[in-house]
Amino acid sequence: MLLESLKVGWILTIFILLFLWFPGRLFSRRVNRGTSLGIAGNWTRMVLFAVIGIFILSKLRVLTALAIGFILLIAFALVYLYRIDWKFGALNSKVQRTVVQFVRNLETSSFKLSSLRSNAAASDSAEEQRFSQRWPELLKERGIPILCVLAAVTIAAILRYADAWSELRFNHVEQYDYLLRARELILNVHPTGRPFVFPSLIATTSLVSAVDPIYVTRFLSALIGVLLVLALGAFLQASMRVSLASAVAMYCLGSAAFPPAAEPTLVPTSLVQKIFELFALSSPATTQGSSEFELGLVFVLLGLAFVAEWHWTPHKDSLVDIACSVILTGLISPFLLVLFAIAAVMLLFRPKLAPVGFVLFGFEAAVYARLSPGTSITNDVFMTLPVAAAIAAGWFLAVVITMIRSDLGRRAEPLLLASCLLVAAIWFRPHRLVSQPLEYDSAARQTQDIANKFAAQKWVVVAPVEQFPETLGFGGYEDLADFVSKNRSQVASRDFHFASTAQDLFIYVEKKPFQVFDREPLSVPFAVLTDATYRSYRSPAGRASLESDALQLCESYRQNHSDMEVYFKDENLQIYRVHRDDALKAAAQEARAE
Amino acid sequence: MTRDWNDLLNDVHAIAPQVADAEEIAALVESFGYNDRSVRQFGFASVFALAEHMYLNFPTGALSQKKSVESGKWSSIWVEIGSAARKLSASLAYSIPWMALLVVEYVRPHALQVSPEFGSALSLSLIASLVTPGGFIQMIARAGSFYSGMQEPFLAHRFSILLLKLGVATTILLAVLGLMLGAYFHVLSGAYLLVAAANYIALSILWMFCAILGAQGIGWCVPLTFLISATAAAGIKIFAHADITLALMLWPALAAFCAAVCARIEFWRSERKRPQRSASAPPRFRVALISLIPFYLYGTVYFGFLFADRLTAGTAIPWFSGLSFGIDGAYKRGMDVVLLAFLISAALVEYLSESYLRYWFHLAAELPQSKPAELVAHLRKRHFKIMLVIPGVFIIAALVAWFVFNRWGSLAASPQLLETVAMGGAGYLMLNMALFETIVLVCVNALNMAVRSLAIGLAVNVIAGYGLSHILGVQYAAFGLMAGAAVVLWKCNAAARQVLRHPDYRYSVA
Repeated sequence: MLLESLKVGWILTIFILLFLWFPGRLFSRRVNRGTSLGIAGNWTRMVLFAVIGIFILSKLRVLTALAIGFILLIAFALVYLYRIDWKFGALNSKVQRTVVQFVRNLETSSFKLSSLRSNAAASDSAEEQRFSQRWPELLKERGIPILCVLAAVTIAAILRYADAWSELRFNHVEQYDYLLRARELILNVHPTGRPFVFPSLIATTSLVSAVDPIYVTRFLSALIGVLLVLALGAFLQASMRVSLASAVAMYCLGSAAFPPAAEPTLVPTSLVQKIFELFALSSPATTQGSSEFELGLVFVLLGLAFVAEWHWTPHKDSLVDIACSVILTGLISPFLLVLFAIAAVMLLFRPKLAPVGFVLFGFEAAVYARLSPGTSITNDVFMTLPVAAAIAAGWFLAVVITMIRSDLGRRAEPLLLASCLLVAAIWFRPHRLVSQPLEYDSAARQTQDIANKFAAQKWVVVAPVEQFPETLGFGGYEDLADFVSKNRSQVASRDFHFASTAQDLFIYVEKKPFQVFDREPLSVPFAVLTDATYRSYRSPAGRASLESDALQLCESYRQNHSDMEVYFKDENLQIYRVHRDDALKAAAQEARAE
Repeated sequence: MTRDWNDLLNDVHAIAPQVADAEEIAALVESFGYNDRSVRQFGFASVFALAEHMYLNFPTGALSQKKSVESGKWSSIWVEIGSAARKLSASLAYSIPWMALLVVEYVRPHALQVSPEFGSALSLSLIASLVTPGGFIQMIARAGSFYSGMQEPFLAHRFSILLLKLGVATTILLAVLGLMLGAYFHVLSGAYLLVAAANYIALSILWMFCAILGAQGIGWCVPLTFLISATAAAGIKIFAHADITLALMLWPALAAFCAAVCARIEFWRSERKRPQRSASAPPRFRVALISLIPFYLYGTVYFGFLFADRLTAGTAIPWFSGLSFGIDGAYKRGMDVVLLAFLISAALVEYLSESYLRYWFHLAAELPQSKPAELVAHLRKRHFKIMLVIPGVFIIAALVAWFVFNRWGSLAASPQLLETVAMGGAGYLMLNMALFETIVLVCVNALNMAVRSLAIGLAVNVIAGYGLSHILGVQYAAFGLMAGAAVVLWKCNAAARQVLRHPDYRYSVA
């Protein structure tokens, strides 16, 4: 647990340093430097730089921690030189003075660190004074909304990190894609292709923090969810300027306040059933977009917030931030780009109606997609529904506040806050987010254990498809279904040896086959039904059959050969290990050559 | 120190038969290590007061005439031969052990075979040990040679040991930092990291002691030290049936110990010869250290440049090998051939640059000050000739090395190997020529120009080598060396030509 805490702390620290602190230094001359939108703008720009940088470096096959460190160093140097107006002579003199002072201190054995800090302190003191003066005023004026926002964000963080903290395995199938893409980027193979933005963030953070991408994927996925909640708040605040409404919307999204849909017993066929199903999908407890899509939503919401800010206070920095948001949104999903465009146009004309436009477009597109089978509208439209629902709740509350403020004055917000708290406590309590793991946690942990213990590229894992992204770059992988079908008829023979030339072969066998679904789904498209991955690993019956064959294969081999042992065993999973010494390896290689 | 001001005047006159004014004499007196406090023994309040008095009593012409009568054709040839022998032996002393290792690798490839991970650890630690203490090696060599040349064995001992201690402390600090970074980025597994760190510290100390031996004028001890320690390590391997890895780990420590013993003995011997020098007043360590910092930068940047291509090639290892660092076999073989040619011709370059500087200083002393253009013309002509000799020698050495290794071992001429040899050879050739310019610049107090050129060249070497080795193939790390060497040669040549525009001024500040 302590190690996990240290890992998550380190990953988040590196992420904050790379994507929040560093761009703060890089873009120190922007107008709204200390504000939340200024920080968000810096973050957006930095993400775009990272994505472009990762693409170029990976394409050139020079992406390593060294290259990233080198680029960061050059960027720091350029920023510093820009600050001193490119006066190299002044820099030279400063370096010489520092060296002389150091040698002087070395000789007298007195290191006065305060003198080193004094320069930095002098330059930052004015900034810190402004910063320290602003926060008490802010708390005094808007303490309650700030507390509400903090509470909403905290609940969102707890819900999202609950699973990430306790389990190494992923909760969603897309996370394996991100892990695979991130590993491919780090290994400089297949640099192009989607998804790209989120894997770029994973790759960058993983390289700099020196933590395996599987941990980074796990914790950054949760962080993206929290950032989505924050982006929602930023958008609503920038467009409607009602803090409480923003906080309520953030709570609705972050805590999955809308009740989850009940398990469907029949496929919806009538119009009412389909529309009812859509509303049920509006809860994050039922529908959760992939991390890449959520990141896209973050950029859409932030982009709209920048547009709103530009509308209220035009300046160049907002335009740059908008451009960065648009590019990133376009890289992630064309649908989101359309959504952004529509909401942005509304925002430019009537900022307070932009949330309405977002909600209407989101739901209308979802209704059209649901009622028109074979339509070209992507399924991504359904992933926007939870956000649209939260915006609707926030907008509704903003309207109510505006209406009663004229009568109740300053008591309006506290009264409404009390009412909201009551309603939340009774009807809209936090719900667990949708989660669909694909493997046992012990499988993921043992794979990491093998990668750490055994020398790289000298072992092979034979397991379901989830282990492929977990092993890429460390060792070999072979599909369990292929392995079983290739070898099951021969293992009984004493002369038979597995064809692998690796030193160690690990075969994953589930004593209790993992159930992706509690029962077989009501309807499955034909293309999915014929897919080998679905048949072998997703379908409960298919998986049970495969694991039974695998167990039989391994036990049969173990009876006739002495080079196999049980490497790991628990109530669900058993891992067999075949260890080959050099003689046997050579014999296997010869046999393969023949 | 000299007892009488007349002796000092004769020393000044021997170096500068013609002086412009009293300030020039003051500068020369201070260059001998005198200051206001020490000249009081002659009865003068300050160095300038002494210089004024010496200028009034400065002899004119007699010494230079006497010197010109003395120097004849045969004696000058003997001087040249002696200088050449000294320089070549001192430079080649470092190369001989490496050449011996190369021969063993080609003739008995299995004798030194180790696991890939251990090989990575050894390569990394060797390269790091050559680069990071490079600055301290230069500082020790400069300070040690200076005080040894001044017949001040106690000061030479004191400064060499102080700089050695500083170097060891820095080395240990860097080793700890390297361990932390290596563990953080999973460069090597735990045990191999410790092996690399220990090897790095031992080798760094060894190179620093070798620098002390060179400064003491007993450079012949260096190959002897290597021979004794290698024999001892081989003996342990054979008679104690130890693994080759243990022998390779022990060798640097044994060599460092032998070198330390040799250095200690020589310090004791030279101090016994001049016991009266024990009372010599030392300069302030801080001042001496600050004055040596440019040499530290020069040494670090130079050695960094020399091995940057190996570092970048090592990082270009494919991920499916399972290693984070490892130099491709064909690349290593190709670069070893041209590096051998470089080391042999670099020894010649050291001699040629010393000879050139002696020619320069001799001309500057002999020719009248009213004819600077003649001095410039002579120097440029000689410079041009030397720049023709260096490539010739390098090419011959490279061809011989290629022929020898082709006959001996498995130097299969694959396209990758040929590309490596071609690019590496061009790079080392240009580096040799740049080395000549660099030594001249250093000796005429234009060290900053040399350091700047090397730093720019190093940046080009690293960026081009790293990028191209990853994009196109590991052999293109040598392209980085070639491009960097071209930049260094261009910048150093421009600096040298700038210096040669005013050779008389440079002579006076040298």
